[in-house]
Amino acid sequence: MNKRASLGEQSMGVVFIFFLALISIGIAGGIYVFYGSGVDARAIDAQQLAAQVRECIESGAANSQMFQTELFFEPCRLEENILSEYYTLQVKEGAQKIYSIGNPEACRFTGTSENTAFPRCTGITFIHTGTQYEIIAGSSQKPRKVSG
Amino acid sequence: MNSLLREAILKNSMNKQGSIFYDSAIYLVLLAFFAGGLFALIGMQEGGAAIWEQYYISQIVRVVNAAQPGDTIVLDMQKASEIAAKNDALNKETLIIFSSVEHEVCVKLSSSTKKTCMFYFNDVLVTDVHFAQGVPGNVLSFNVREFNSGGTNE
Repeated sequence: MNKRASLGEQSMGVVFIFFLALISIGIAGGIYVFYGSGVDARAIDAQQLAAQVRECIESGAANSQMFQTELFFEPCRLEENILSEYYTLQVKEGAQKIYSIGNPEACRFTGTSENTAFPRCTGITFIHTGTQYEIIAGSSQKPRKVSG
Repeated sequence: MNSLLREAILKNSMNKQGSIFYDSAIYLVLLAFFAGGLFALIGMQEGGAAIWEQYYISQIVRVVNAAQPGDTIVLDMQKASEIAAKNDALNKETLIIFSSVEHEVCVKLSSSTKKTCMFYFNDVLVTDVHFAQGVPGNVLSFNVREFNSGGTNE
């Protein structure tokens, strides 16, 4: 009879652990929500890239030939390695695509704005010297932790 | 008979006391682990240093990306320096680090060995980086140059 009573007490221990785990998850969730999930500056990053490319075209520093031959980086003051690693960029002159890097198609998916695996994109259209240009720029760069 | 009954009752109550003590000890150990883990989790946040590092790094990268050669940038670092001071990490050498060759900027506001870094796409040289205290307030200033124009070390 004592053994049966002990079994009941041990069962309560499992319930106790369950409630502890539940409270731990709640507190950990609260800490995560309070301190936030990080700062997402990709949208502003993409806007700045698009603006810099637009300024480069409008100032005449780069033309469509330079975009097609990938010689626009220096005149537009863009770092090529970083662009290819963390950014998406597509430049169209009229209907013709004159430069593309990354995956601009991912920018067209609806519903990806909340998914951090996809880049945050922006698009601008403008007319320069009678020609319509379209720039799609996207950023997938997030702050990262580095040792040292 | 009565003595036998008394002996049995005494033995039973002693068993119960031993059982209560054993159960309480287990619960206390579990509670200690739980409380310890909880305080460790909160302590690791270091006053939200990680979030502030991300905030400052994204703002600095935004400013550098928008900068043009010839610009002098001055940023208010009062809050960042307060957090770094609270975490014993207020060191001018490691608070903000620019690497113009890699086009990278890093911020460190906590005492951990890790810092938060981001790249900037603007192909410029960041020079004359200076952290001044009590200007009034604490500020970070730096100059932006053409990448091939040369300049003093950052």
